[in-house]
Amino acid sequence: MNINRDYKNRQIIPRLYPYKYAFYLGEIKPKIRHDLNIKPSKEYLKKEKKWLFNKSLPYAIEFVGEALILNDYNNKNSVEAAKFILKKQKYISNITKQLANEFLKNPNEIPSFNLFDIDIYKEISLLKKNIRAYSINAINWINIALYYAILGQIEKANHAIRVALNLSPYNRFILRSAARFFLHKGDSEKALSILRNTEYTKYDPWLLASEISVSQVNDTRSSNIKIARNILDHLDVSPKDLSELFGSMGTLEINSGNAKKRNYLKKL
Amino acid sequence: MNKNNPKNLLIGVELDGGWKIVELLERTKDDTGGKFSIPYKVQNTNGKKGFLKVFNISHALDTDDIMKSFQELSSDYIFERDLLYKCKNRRLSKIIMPIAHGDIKVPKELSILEKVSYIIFELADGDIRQIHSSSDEIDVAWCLKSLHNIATALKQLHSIEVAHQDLKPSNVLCFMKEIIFKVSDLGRASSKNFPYKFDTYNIPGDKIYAPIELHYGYIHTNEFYRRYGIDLYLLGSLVFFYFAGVSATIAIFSKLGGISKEELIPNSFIRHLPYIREAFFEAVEDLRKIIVEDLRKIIKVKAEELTDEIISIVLELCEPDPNRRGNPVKRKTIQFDLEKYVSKFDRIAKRAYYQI
Repeated sequence: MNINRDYKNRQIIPRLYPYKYAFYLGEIKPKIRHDLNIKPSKEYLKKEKKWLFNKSLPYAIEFVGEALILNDYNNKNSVEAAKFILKKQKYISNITKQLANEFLKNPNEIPSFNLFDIDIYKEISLLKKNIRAYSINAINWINIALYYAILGQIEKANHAIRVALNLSPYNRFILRSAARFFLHKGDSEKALSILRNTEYTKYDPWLLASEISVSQVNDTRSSNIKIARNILDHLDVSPKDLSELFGSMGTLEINSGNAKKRNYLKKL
Repeated sequence: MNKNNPKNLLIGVELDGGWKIVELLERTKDDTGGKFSIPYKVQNTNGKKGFLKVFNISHALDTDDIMKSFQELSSDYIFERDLLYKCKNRRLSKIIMPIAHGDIKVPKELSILEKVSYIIFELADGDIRQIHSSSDEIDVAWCLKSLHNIATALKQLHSIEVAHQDLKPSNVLCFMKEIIFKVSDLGRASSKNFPYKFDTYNIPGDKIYAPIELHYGYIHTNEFYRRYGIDLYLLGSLVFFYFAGVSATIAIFSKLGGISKEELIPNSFIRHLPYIREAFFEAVEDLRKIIVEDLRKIIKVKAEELTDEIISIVLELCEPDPNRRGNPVKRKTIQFDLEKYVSKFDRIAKRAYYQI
């Protein structure tokens, strides 16, 4: 098969990948900081006291549960309670085990994935079952669209993407996945309109980066460049959330021959 | 009996209506009661036993703003008492009822006030958290029967335009002999006709049980009926508690790996909803595996069928989007009507009990 790749017009466009990839790669939400200054509520302190007094499973679960909600990962008592839960493996459910594991896990740890290891037909069958049980979950529709697209069943994928967009028209993962799908389909105008039709593009650096890149693919000028520059100048968003925007803006400046700006972005 | 404990001085004291204080109920390890009340067991001349709560507001003297504490404590007490009597007058059978209330003369050693208020309630054998955690095996029929009773209790409350908002295992009491479950603690309830300070709280009940939208501060409507939606979620969350040992909220937060504080703002809720739904669905699928395993121990043939019914209820009751929570056939005000769930839990509980 002859694949024509356009090496001269390279852009940083969003990827369409399974939700779990995006989740672990940190695309869907910022990483939780572990050094937050926690202001414990009366109820939280009461739960901590009860755990220290009783040292039993129900109190450990309640205490670790609230610690997870409050992001109080540095509290040695809650860490001790989470370890206590894991020691009681015989008496706890998988959901409880996950609570303790999630609380104790290293935030920088990213599990490895390989898309080629996935049995696509098996995944589609499972996703169909899940959609039947809970059809309003837009993530399942995106995942099934990806697998249909891999199999070349573009019409089925198209339908799934449209359902996902109707269910969640404001979500970063859904919008970026849909834009990527329409680019893959060769409909760059549709991809661009999806990104431009939401007001969140102006506030979300990930959507902004996608909009700027897709505009370049579509040979149109993005009206959000000024906003993007402003965000990059002020840097009040985490570097990880800005990385793609830096890339998109850098590509834009290089393509337009703005050497000064290009160096500026390189420095950052 | 410790004679040095001034609380014991009330033992033997007679109250109006023929009630006599017979025993000081020591705060157990599981006790969640506040320090402003002292629990006793009482008995009347007919041999009927009751639970006495004596409000010792002299503890308010330990606080920085004494007058404010006095005012808050007394208004909290009056709010809950009035609500309880409203339930009693409407004969709500699944709510823990007050039997009597009044004032009692107390010794100086116990309180600086000459008299303090008290309420006598029905005496239960314990709350479902205590009972559930003390047994190794899950009695599925028992759990489902309790869910039916709790759903009935909430339906009764909603019928008098009251939302509980703090339904959790420690607030469901069990009468072991009759196998009846009743809902207690209306301290954080909301009444359409008596607005109170808790109505303004973002999360009126316990954080670890509260619906996920309240953590974001997202309010889909200012109409009172939105509070019934909170009760529906809390009812569904009890299914998680019975079979998985954690609330639905903790299960969702665990699947999401926590949510940073900066993200928990009302505007983020709708944008995050797909992630929350995915986490919720994953948690429900884990729950399904646990329930089917437990049901197979008692019903071999139709365990999957019964599990599907329970899961479909959980999906409706704990739906993260408050706009879609409840009965999908009915929308807006009547979507939170509990009639469907009362009859469903009743049917499932009977099937589990008779193993058919």
